Parts: sequence; C-alpha cells; structure tokens
Amino acid sequence: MDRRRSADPDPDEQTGSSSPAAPIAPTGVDPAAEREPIRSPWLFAVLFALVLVGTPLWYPTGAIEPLVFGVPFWFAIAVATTVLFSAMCCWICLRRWNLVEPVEQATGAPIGPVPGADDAEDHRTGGHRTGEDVR
Amino acid sequence: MTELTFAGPSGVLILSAYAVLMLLIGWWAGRGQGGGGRTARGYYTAGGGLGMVTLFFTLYATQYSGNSVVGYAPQAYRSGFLWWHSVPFMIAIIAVYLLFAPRLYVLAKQQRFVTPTDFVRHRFGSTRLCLLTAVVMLWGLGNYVLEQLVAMGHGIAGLTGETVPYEVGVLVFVVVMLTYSWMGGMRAVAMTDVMQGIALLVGVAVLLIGALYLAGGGLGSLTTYLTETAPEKVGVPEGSDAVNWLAMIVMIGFGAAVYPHAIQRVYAARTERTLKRSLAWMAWMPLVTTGVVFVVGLAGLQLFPGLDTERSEQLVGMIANEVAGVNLFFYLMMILLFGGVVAAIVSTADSAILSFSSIVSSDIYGRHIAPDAPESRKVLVGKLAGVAAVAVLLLLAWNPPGTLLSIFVLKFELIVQLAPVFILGLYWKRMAAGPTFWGMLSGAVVAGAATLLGFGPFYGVPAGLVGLAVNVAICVIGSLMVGRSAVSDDDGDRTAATRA
Repeated sequence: MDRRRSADPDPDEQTGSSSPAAPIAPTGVDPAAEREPIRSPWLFAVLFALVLVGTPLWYPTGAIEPLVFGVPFWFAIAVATTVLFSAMCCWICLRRWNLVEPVEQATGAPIGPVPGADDAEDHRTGGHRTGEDVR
Repeated sequence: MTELTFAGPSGVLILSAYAVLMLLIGWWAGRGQGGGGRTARGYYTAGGGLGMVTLFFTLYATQYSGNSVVGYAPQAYRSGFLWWHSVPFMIAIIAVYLLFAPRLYVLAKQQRFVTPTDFVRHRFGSTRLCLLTAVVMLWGLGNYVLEQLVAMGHGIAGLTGETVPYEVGVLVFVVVMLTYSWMGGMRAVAMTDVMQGIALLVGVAVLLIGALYLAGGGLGSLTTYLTETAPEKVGVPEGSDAVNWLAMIVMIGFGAAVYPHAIQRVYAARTERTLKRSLAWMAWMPLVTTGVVFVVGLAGLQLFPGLDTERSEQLVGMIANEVAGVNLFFYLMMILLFGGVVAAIVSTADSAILSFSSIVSSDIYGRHIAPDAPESRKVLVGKLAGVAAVAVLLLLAWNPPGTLLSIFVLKFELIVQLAPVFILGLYWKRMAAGPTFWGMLSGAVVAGAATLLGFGPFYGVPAGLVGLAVNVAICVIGSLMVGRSAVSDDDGDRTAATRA
C-alpha cells in the first residue's frame, strides 16, 4: 500500500526537505514534469508576506488620512494586498500544480486505485472501476 | 417590523418555490445514481466524479454559509472597516488547500478514500488517533450544523418580517434538506449547490447595487459619512484588533480547509484539472462575496444608524426590504437573494450533515461496530445518524446560544486542531501517531476549555490558535523524541517509518 517510488528520483531531495510521509504510488507522470506547490516554499512565504503587509499592524491607531481613492490609506493597502493574495492563489493553482494531470488527460479518466486499496466496492466488482466512478 | 416587502403570503410563496426546486433537483440527482448511491463512496463522494462546474459551486455554496451574508453584514456594521479581514481569511482557506490538496487528491484516488479519517488510518494506522479525529470532526460538524440551523431561523424570520416564525422556518427547511440528501447523497447536495450558489452570487451583487443606491454613493461617500459620525470605524484599528485580524486569517484558513466536508470535496473531484480549476476560481470568490457583504454592512450604517447588537443581526433583511421597495427589478432580484440566503444556509448544512453521516457510517459503525455489514446497510446507518443528529441539534436551535459569530468561533477553536494531522502528516515522515494523538487532544482541551471558561482572546489571539500551538508543539517535540524507528504505543500504533 505504501509503495515508495524507489526507482524515481525523489523530488523532495531537490529542495533539501525529507521525503514525504504519505508517498503517492507511481502515477506514470515524468517526475521532472511534476509540480507541487509545497515543494516551492517561497510561494507560501510570498503569500504570508502579502497577508502581513495587508494587516494594519504598522500604522498609528486611529489614523484615517491620507485618503486613497476616497478611502483610508491603510484600508487601500489592505484591499490591494488582498487582491494580490487572490491572484497569487489562483496562479499557483493553475501554474504550480501538476501531479497527475498529464496521465488523466491522456487516458481521459482519473487515476485509478493502487492494488490493495481499501474499498468495499473493489471486493464486489473484482477491483474494476464502476460507471459511477468516472461520471 | 411592519410594511415589509416580503411579509405575508409572498414570503411564504418564495420559500415554498425554493423548497420545491431543491426537492426536484435532489430527486433528479438521486435518480441518476443507480447502484452508486448504495455504496459509501458513491453516496458520500459521488464516486469521485464531480465535474468542474458542480465542484466549483459545491465548494462555493459549502464554504459560504448563510452566516457569510446574514452574520457578516452585521459584523461589518458593528466593526466598520476592520471587518475587511473577512475577505483575506476566506482566501486563506484556498492558500491552505494548496498546502495539502494536491497530494491528498492523488492519495484519495489511489487509496479510494471516503472519509477524512481514511487518510489518518492510511498514514498512521492508529485506532485511537482515528477515533479522536472522528470525534473532533463530529463535534465540529455538530457545531457547524447548529450554526446553520440558527442562521436558517434568523434568516427566514428576518427576511419575512417574522411572518414565518423562527421554529417553522427551521423545521420546514430541515425536512427539505434531509429529504434531498437522503435521495441523492453528495450528488444531490452538489447539484442543489449549483442552484443555491448562483442565487446567492446574483442576489448579493444586486443587494450591493441597491444598498449603494439607497445610501447615495460608493465607498468614498461612506468613508466621508463614517469619518463624521463614527471615526473609530474608519481609522486604523487598535493593536489587539490588528493582531486579531492576522490571527483570524491563520485560524480560519487552517480550520476551514480541514473541515471534513471540505476534505471530502477534494476526494469528490473528477480529475486534478477539475480540482485545481475550481480552486483557482474559488480564490476570487471572497472578493465578490464577503467583500460585497462587507460594503453592504457599511452601507447599513448610513441607512439604519444606531442599531444595537441584537437589532443589527436583522440588518440584511432590513436592507433587502428597503432595496426591494425601489422598483420591480430590485424586488425580483431581492426575491432571488432571499431564496439565495436561505439556500446558502441549507447548502452548508446539508454538506456538513452528509459528512457527519459518512463518519458515523464508515469510521464508527462500519469500522468498529459492524465491519461485516453490507455496504448498503452502512450507508443507511449513516443516513439515520444524520437525521438523529439534526433532531438533537434542532432542540438546541430553539434556544440559540449567543449571536451567530460566537458559535462560528467556537467551532473553529476545535476543528483547527485537525490541521497538523493532515498537513504535517502528509509530508513529515517522522510524525508519530502517539504524539499526534496527545497533541490533538491537548489542543482541543486547551481551546475548548478556554472558550467555555471565557478566557481569551489573548491580545487578539483566539484560544483556538493557542490550542493549535500546544498541539503542534506536542506533535513535533513528541515525534522527535519517539524517534524514527519506534513503535509508538500500546494499541499497536505504527509510525509511518515502521510502515515504510
């Protein structure tokens, strides 16, 4: 069940972190093409920095002016960082996440269970996927 | 409240139409399931086959509860510009998803997970850790459903000017919700979420336009008005409020992302592309939902100045009724909003109940009470457990404790304690079952006790985050002390290292 990808280079070694505790079984995707957000810690550092900058911790209590586009400056900064926070999350989803999509797109179906996966349906259907699984 | 636009038969008619629509969609979704509805995976995760549109709307309608509209607008009314942090804390949920959802999706497909506890069992193999995880989840979900039931009553009573009494509103929609969930499981819940999400999005957008029209301008004129009348709601908040801003982003980001029904939507995605595109869209939704509700709440300060806490809880209903009086278009759009608010509450509650049922069905009954029972009986037991839980929570909902937000915070205090087991557990191979169990238990006890005894927040930091810090410290230090090769404890727990 917990088969390690011993034949594949461990992508986590590239970032110097330990190998994952809950390894995924081989998926058929070229490890060099795999992208997982957690393997690039700087992404989350930037996200956290945006949140920190937008938090009104850095200004004197009660300050309203200068107004920016008619609203208090601190609020304008909070709105701007919030928009960037959204944009960055969206970008990470679309550009920095690619674990099994090539295989799923090539086969036209989600990746299947590994042998021994714990599921009662498998016992009844002989391990074959049912129509409901891929609808 | 008299002379309300939605009072009387029109309010009842609108609610009835939405209820019938939900039942029809639920019946249609259940009809299309065939035998899949009798298996746990088919019933609770739609067989892992939700497409992008359905998955997006079920994520949206589940994450944005009735509280996001009915409860957040009054919060903005009371807190002023400070309440903007409701937008980044909803985006933070997506940021935290990015920490674990990519890997968890692949594992869920490979190992055919149904409940979140399936991952914990796969990773740690510890019975007592699985049971504790299930209990914390059930407790959190119970609080969550209770909040929705209370919001349902407030929403219906407020929006109909109490033509439909609180108790009647709750009871009728609980029956509707349970009926369509029973018929179609996750598929029915997700498909009703599409209708519910669209109604909410359109309704909230028109509510914003109407509220700004009535208030006579945009955020600039609101700022001018508030600077003159309530400058404390416009200026830079106090230090503890600013710390609370940051703390809520962290707590809600981690707490909401590991909610059982949130995790089960990762399992239910048809493909990785479906999941990541849905989450990419979700990253923008806080700006057009809680951001819009924030502005509506501020407009309420100009439209209905001087409301106390209790009266301000009815703010959305009061504004909606004013907006509906503008002309026929706004009246029709407020009908949509009215249904959308009720639908948002129902859609959040149905997801939580379905998740509750799945945990009882698979993790308690199917695992410990009757492992050999046929799949269809396990599903039936889960359905009955969901009905029983709602019956108990209904009794509590008749006498709702505190305002909506106090219930909201209480549930996150507990549920955020699940974050380490999922996020650290996915990536840190030295993490051991024993310290994880004690960390989660200690974190829940610290957070729960502090909340119940009225301690905290500590300079803006909620007790849930203090509990989480204790939780993580015990997990990390304990796991380092247990060591890589140790077999953890007396119930036969295995660490990830020994499994590997």
